[in-house]
Amino acid sequence: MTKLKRTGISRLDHPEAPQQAQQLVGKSLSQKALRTLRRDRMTMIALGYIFVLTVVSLLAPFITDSIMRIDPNEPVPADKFTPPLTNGYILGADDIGRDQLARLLHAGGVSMGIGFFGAFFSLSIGLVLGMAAGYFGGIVDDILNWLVTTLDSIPSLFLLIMVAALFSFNAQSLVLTVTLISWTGTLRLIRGQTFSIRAKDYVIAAQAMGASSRRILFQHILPNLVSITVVQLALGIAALILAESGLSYLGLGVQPPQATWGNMLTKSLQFFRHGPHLIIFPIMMISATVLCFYIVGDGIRDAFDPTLQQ
Amino acid sequence: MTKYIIRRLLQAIPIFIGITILSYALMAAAPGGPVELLAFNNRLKPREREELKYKLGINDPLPVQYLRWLAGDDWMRWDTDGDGVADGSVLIDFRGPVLNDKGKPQYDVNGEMVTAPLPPGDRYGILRGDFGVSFYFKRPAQDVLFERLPATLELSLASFIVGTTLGLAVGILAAVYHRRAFDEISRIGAVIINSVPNFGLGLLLILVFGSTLQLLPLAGRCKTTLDPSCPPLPQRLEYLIMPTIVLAAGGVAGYSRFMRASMLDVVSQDYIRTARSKGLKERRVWLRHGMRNAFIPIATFLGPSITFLLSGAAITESVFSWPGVGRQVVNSVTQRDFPVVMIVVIYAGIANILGYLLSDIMYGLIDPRIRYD
Repeated sequence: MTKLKRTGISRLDHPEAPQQAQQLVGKSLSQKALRTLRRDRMTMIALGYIFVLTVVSLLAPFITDSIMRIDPNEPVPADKFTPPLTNGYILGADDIGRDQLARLLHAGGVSMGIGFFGAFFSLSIGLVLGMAAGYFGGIVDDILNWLVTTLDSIPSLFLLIMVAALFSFNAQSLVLTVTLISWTGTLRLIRGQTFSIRAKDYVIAAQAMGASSRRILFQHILPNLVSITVVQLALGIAALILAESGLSYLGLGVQPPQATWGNMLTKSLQFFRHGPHLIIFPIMMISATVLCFYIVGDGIRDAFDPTLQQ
Repeated sequence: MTKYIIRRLLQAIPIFIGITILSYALMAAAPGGPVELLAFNNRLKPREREELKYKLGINDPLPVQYLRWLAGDDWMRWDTDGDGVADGSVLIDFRGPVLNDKGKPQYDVNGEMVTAPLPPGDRYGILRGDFGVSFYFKRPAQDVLFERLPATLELSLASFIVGTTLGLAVGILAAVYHRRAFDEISRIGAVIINSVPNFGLGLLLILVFGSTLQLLPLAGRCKTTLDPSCPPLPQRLEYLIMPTIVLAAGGVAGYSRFMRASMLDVVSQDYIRTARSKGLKERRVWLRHGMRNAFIPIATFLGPSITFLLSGAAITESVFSWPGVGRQVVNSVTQRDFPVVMIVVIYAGIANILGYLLSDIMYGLIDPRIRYD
């Protein structure tokens, strides 16, 4: 804010300033943000990692079948605990002789899929209901508020383990459950933002000109929520990848033989003397991926923060 | 202020009811349902088990079953003359079928079911503190919870103290050295700590300090002896170190980021510039003018942390075999010990409601600009 004011004053003082000002005016916040993002090397590296990992995970069946020519679920008892880079096992073999690289690739799709879809669905619910609660207020807001406070009052890990023990999880039911549990945080955030945007002058002006609620919601409010939503998505995916691994540790996550990073890590914990590589690589995959999502989330938040822009 | 507190407590009632409905619904959705589970006891004969099911109202509609769990059934079917046979009832059946030895109902010559008055209700309901008897421990669920609460309080209080002091200190220093090495390192450190799964960090510590260097005990709350109780805390501090580090790590990372942001927000304000221009020393500006105001938003953290203090950390407690509430919930859920799960969930819910109320009150106390009425 102070910077903008300063340029305003200098424009008055110096007659040659209007040309400069025109160059400045031509960029919208999102254009500026994208430019900032492109210059933010750490965020770009993290985005690149996520992109490569996503592509590789999506192509995992093709890679293991056609390029590596192995079955990730086929045990080869003779090769158990093969260390990395021996006998053609790039990342070694696990306790019953399955190729760790192939399994990590397949597991990546599941773990990131749980993270992505869980975060995406809960974000969608939170966004729609949050906008409704913040914009319309009244009884809608009261009911949603009651629901959110109730759900938030029970520690979410307790809810997760309760559901997990009752209906043992596969990837789809886990996504459904985390969606139903984790939309409340997004709703609180979006509701607050909608509430404050609704009171802004340009929204009041639009209302005065007779704009419909739909137009205000989609033309004036939603665009202002995009950056927050993207940040929430990145942080949500990271949190869910961690939650999946935690649930797996308690033995309540996605059940084998379906591999996830969490249950691969959990299973390997008992073999830390025979095969430390079985612990190191899953934990590296989880941590590196979560780290990258955090970095991307932070980077986008900074890029869209007008007070941080130069 | 009193008015505000009363209003907030009144608002808490529908939330409490919501919590009970949600947790009862989850329990009712479990295979078998609560009545079947209550009646599951392999020491009972088939006839006794079926009789118990009728007494517990297996055919009652779910809302009635919920009400019985919430408010008890001693007022639903009562016994005035003390002969063990009910004399009247509301909402639920007064008479139930007479069962044979296999637990099947009997019929008279006309094909009608033979019935007799059922025994009176003897449950008090959770509102009157009757959470039932733990299926696994065969003791009141309340006892199971309160036995484990001290261990959880001990661990979470320790990690809360370590987490806040360290986190706030790091946050203040990061703000003072804004955009310098310390700031960058603490920022990267916080993100990295947050990216490692909690149990991974715990197991790493166990591996290094417990197993390899043998400096600290591997797990547990104190030395395992025949006596199940533990000696006073100062004699077994070494058991507390590793779980506290793991549990506090997330807190340090979170609080330090929050405190840094809050501090930077405060020091960009006009009165800080005024303080500087008056020629005050930097240290005094930061500590007296900056820090005290930067603490205000931190009060919002108090609410959630009280829940955390009481409900414990299921995963960390499991990693270190810490005999606390969180680990008990994990075990009870796998054992389908619903009375214990329910009591923990409901107490955690109450703690949460009170925690948020307390933190809002604190907020008003430390920041005179905030008024509630």
